[in-house]
Amino acid sequence: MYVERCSGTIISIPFDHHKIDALLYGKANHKKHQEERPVILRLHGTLGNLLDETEHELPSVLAAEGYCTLTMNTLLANLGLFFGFGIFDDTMPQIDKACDFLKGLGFQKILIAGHGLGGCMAIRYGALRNDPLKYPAIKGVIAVATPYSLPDAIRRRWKRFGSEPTYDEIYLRAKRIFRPLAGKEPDRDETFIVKKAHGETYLPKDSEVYTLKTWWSLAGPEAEGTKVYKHIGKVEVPILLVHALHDDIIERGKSEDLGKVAIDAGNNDVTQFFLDTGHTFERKHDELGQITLKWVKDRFA
Amino acid sequence: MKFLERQHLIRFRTQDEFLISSLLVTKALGREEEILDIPIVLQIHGLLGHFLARGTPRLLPHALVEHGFNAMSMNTRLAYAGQITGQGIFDDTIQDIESAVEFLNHEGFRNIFILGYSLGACMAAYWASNREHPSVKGLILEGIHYSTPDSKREQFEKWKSSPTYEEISEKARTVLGDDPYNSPNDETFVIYQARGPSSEPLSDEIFTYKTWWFMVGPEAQATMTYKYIDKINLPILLIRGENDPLVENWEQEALARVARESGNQNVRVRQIPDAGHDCMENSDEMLKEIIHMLSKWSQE
Repeated sequence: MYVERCSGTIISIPFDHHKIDALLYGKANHKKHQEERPVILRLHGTLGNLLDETEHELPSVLAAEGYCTLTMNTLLANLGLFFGFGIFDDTMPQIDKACDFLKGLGFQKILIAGHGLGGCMAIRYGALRNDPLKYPAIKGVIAVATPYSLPDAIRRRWKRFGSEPTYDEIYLRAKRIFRPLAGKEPDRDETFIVKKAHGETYLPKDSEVYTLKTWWSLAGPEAEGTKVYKHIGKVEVPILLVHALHDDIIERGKSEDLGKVAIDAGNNDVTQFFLDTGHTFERKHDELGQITLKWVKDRFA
Repeated sequence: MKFLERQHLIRFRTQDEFLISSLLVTKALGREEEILDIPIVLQIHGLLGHFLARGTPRLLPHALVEHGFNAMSMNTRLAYAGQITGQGIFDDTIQDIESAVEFLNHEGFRNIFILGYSLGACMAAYWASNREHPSVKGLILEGIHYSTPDSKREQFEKWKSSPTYEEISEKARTVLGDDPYNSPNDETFVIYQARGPSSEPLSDEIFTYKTWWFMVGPEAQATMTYKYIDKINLPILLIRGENDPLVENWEQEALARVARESGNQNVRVRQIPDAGHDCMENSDEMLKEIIHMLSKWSQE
């Protein structure tokens, strides 16, 4: 029987009458360690959570070299998109809270890292908290398999597979909530399924589920938070971008231009890597781990 | 008390290669042999739940350790969005529980009790009616329905769901054909007003036709607990929150009667005062009942 014993500890961080669940990996009991070595705060991808495979490999590599990680569940984890409470921008104060928790443990350097949607969150957060005087602990951003613009990536993918309903049909429905016609009450939020969103079949694996509100904030054409290219230029700390050459979820295309946008905006510490793999970095977790490790060591060892 | 417990995040694979995550919580003190002798409660989450879900799944393991017992809370293939992504076929959860029991037994735990919460209680009962293991000593069923398909049908009727139960049944038959389990077809769908009178997302339920068929459909034998509880030979504790809005008072008694009539004389039914569907709303009373069941094995 295959059994794996993970060394992480599940913790709960109080937040707004709820709790943020997180997995703390690695031990750093020495004050000097906590002051000098960065801790990596990790954000899950779409429908992900702290137990995901992709959330799991990197912490092991980092922990083996003495770097702690905290993988947190945001409002977008698990079922957040399905039941209306997973609003992209609402995750930012949750990340603040997780940073406060890490600072409370004694860490003085925090790197914000994410995969896919988590990469969008990491860059958005790095852009919003870019004042080093107010946020001196934020020292870097790591974004893996992060799209240039999530709304555009989703729109292109739905068009490619002939989604039912189409992107524009959903936009019209969602607009009735956020931009009701004159004299009309805003529509209520509603759950919907998009078939053929990920592939050519009607099978669940090719379907996506949102509510109009969660879709609007994450995938709609007016979803500002997930248009990564608009924010990456505001990130002033070092950035590591790792792309998958065969990413079927976000499509390669313009994702590769993200680094250029950051450099053109004046960030002189932007590193990009391209790995021969797909969106989940299958069979490339070790390589991803080593790239991340080297990048961290080169700057913060 | 936190420093007295030790947490282990464990992952293991089932026979069909499904990866199960679980949280093992044990006392931090004492020799290993002593810890293995202490009863351990294997906990199973409810609908759309997981081992960090609020209420019983989240709170009970730590409460049990504080009272000197061990606990392992597991995520089955129905955890999180399993019923929405299509991987959560109810009948297959038997393999998840089987693997968890196997893991605990291999670790050396000799006194295993399985506690299921809500839909998890149904999973636990289904496992126990089909499998036996010498290390498993008892079953605790919290907030279990007499028949999940019947309860769901009534629930959908009560809130005037759209589509109706019958409409979904008909569509499921059309999509899945004569052999639903092996059907190559499946689709995700939403049931509006399934859990409440409004059309807001929190009143919706989402399934695939396959997960619905095996959990809620009119032929979902595995969730009709009354049909197989008579095959369970283990001691059973049935608990229900006195104010449970989902499970009616008669359901526990009726299940207990079926079990007793088949010859199982070790069936206990308890109402937890001041508690709803989640009995940990009155943790003192809930723990009292569980400890009552476990303590015999603890002394031995």
